[in-house]
Amino acid sequence: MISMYGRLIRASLKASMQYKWNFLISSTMMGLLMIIDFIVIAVLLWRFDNIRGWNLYEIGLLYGTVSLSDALVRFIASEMQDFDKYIIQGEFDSLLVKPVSPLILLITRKIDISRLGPVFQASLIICFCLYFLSQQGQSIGPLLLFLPFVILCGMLVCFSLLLIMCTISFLIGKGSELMVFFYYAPLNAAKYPISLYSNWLKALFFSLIPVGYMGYLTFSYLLEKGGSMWQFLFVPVAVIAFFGLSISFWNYGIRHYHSTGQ
Amino acid sequence: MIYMLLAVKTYKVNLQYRMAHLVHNLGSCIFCFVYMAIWTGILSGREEMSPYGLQELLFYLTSTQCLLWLTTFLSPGLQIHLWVRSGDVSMYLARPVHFYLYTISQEMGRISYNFFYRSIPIYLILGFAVGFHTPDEPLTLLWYALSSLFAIIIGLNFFYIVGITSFWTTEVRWAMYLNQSLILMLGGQMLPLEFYPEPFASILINLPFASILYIPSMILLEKLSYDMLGLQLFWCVVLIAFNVTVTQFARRRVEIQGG
Amino acid sequence: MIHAKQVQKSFMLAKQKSGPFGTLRGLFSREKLRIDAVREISFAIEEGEAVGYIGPNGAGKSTTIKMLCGILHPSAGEIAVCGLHPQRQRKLLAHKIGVVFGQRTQLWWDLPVLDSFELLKEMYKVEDYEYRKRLLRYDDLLDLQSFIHTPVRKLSLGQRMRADLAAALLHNPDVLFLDEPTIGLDVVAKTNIRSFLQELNHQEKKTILLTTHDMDDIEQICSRVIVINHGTIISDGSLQELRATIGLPSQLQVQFMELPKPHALPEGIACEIKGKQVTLLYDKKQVGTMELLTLLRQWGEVEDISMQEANVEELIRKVYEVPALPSPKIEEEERELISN
Repeated sequence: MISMYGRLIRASLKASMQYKWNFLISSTMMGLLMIIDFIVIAVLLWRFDNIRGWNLYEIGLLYGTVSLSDALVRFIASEMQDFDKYIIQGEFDSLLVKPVSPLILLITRKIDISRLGPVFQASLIICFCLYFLSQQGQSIGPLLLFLPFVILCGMLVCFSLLLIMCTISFLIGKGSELMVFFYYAPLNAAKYPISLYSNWLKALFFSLIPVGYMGYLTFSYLLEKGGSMWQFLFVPVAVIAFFGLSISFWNYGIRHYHSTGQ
Repeated sequence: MIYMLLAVKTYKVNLQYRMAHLVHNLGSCIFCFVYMAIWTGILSGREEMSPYGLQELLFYLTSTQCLLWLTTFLSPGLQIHLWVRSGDVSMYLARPVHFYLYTISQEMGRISYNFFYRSIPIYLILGFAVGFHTPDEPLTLLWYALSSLFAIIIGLNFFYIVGITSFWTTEVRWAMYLNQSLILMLGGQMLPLEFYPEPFASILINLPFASILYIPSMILLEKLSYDMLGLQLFWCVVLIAFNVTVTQFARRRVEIQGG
Repeated sequence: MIHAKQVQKSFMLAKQKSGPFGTLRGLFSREKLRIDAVREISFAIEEGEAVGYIGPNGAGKSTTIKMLCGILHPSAGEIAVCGLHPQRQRKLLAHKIGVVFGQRTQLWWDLPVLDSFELLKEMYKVEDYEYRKRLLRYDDLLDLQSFIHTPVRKLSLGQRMRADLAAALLHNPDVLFLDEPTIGLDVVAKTNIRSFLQELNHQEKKTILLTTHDMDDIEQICSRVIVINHGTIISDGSLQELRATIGLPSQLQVQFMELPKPHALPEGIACEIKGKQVTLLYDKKQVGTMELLTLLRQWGEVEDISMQEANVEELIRKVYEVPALPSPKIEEEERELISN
């Protein structure tokens, strides 16, 4: 699988490099939406200094890591976001006649090179915020140490959410409408401290759509925003459980497709 | 009339997806709830730091969220790039209708649909969460309607510009992202423009982006007077004139080089 | 090679609601329609056979093929392909079969054809030497060279089908499943694909099972035809046998200037006269078209001629008219539901 993936990346890169400028411009622009959102928050915090105790750089760190996880997942598994077309055009069948698991096949079907723009820009935000946090006297050692952990947890949550969306999509025949409610909107919410939201949203983000585990819990502990050690330790447990759940849901979906699909 | 008919047809096409769109609207509301939560977090206990009260800002966010579906979340490039890519565009240009009006009226059908099946449901959901705003002066509603109409025209024309660039470049995805980013940020979608530092704030208010979300919403809140309609009208005229001219160039380009 | 024994497949379909909020009510409704896409099918296909699998839309063709490839699991019955069990040994089976769905591509949409091939090589773990040998051979037969560096999305339908066929063969499968391989192609492209498949069948002894709506596909590629309708096999035999049962597959329509004066026609030709218009149904193998036309000239002055090869649907209808299967009316409606 790894070697196939490597080959795919090389082939995609080669294809995009034929239109170098197009690739550069579209990936930059794709990241722009994210950066612009961040600028708006920056303006807001320049005016008001903090939101419930989180200053600009702390929010930026949360914002950057969640955006990075999202961008990485959409870079690697780009076909999962518009899985609908596999169902509508019946392409899913051709995934099921290959000697490789359909999930791996789906992931390796395509990578979206232009997502490197957002990946780069999210990393930029993280670096920027870490630098200023260290200027403010925050010890960034633990932050740096746990950064890969946060990003990985975030990626797993994103991936699991997408996988669940895909499964729903082939169980009921359509799903892209659900993406906004179950993916885009929660992901946007996860970029800010979950403590801001009303209780029902908080409950939603720690259970059904667990984006709260992406960065918020870890950072609220590391940055001392009221998070406890136990919550912090619970993060990997919750994320892995959710990931496992999504995988078994997907497998259930495949079995269901085998026995009921058209 | 053909343009009216086109609009009605697009409206009907969209009608088929209304169930799906209603689910979609819940997602749109969550986006707005997030922005509302941020503002609530910021202003809790220090409303005096802001020129607007929290309640006013929540109304503002409600208004922009509804306007987004009429002005900012239109069909990417008004689908012109798809016609250019498939080569159908020469067929459209050959028809005895004005290409500009053709695309615009088609999208107007979608916008009218969005009004009934996107903006109104979103307005109701958000309204139940934060309350419904009633302006002191009933006439304000008329100004708001008029201002929103201008906003729609300006939004449409921005999308038309994006679409028409596909006559010259093969890749228009970046232009779509740029267009949307600019409208969201410079239009004041979550951050009213006076929160930007001077002199940016004064400049931004006069740019056409402000006419799309910020001006109509502030007119509804009675923070801006109906004088601003003049500015919106000015931008409408400029953009329409620009697009009609560009369409001429695009037509000539196709005639010379072939679709 | 392929054995199917009393295979059945039925779906439960949620009943569509109409009227306001139809979809929404549909979500909560428990009413379901049972649809028997495949009722009870048995057949055995030996190594090296080329079999046409035909029937009208919604007859159960695609469902059968999908069961044979392991995409769908049968509700009852036994299937063995290359001695393997398609449900339990799906991945193992994938190495032994090549599948082409006419209306979709299995290639990577944005990548050049060659890159897709390399990815498939990796996926099926094909040896370098074997891979190069096959690529050369298929290039020779399908002329891939002219578009091998073009991204798949830019290929014409004919080129794409050629690339798809080569892709399905890179791992040297014993069995080839083709679902409408010539659909939407022009005459030249169709001829290319047909002679390629013929070559595969004759030279490499590949077992081929294909569905089609085009009788010429069957005529040129297949030695045996299985006809399915309403999920049941209604005929299985050589093309000649099928012809004998159905007869008269070609149609000639002649418009006369004046009312024609009919003369006698050779045996085995059905003739229908409607005013100035005469419709003849005949078997091309028995009577030449030119011969018929010469005969018809004696009837009067000809104004216009149109010819039509009977399509599969028409053939099936004819077969179906002879041994009528009981089919309650409601099932017709169900079947429509499937195809929608």
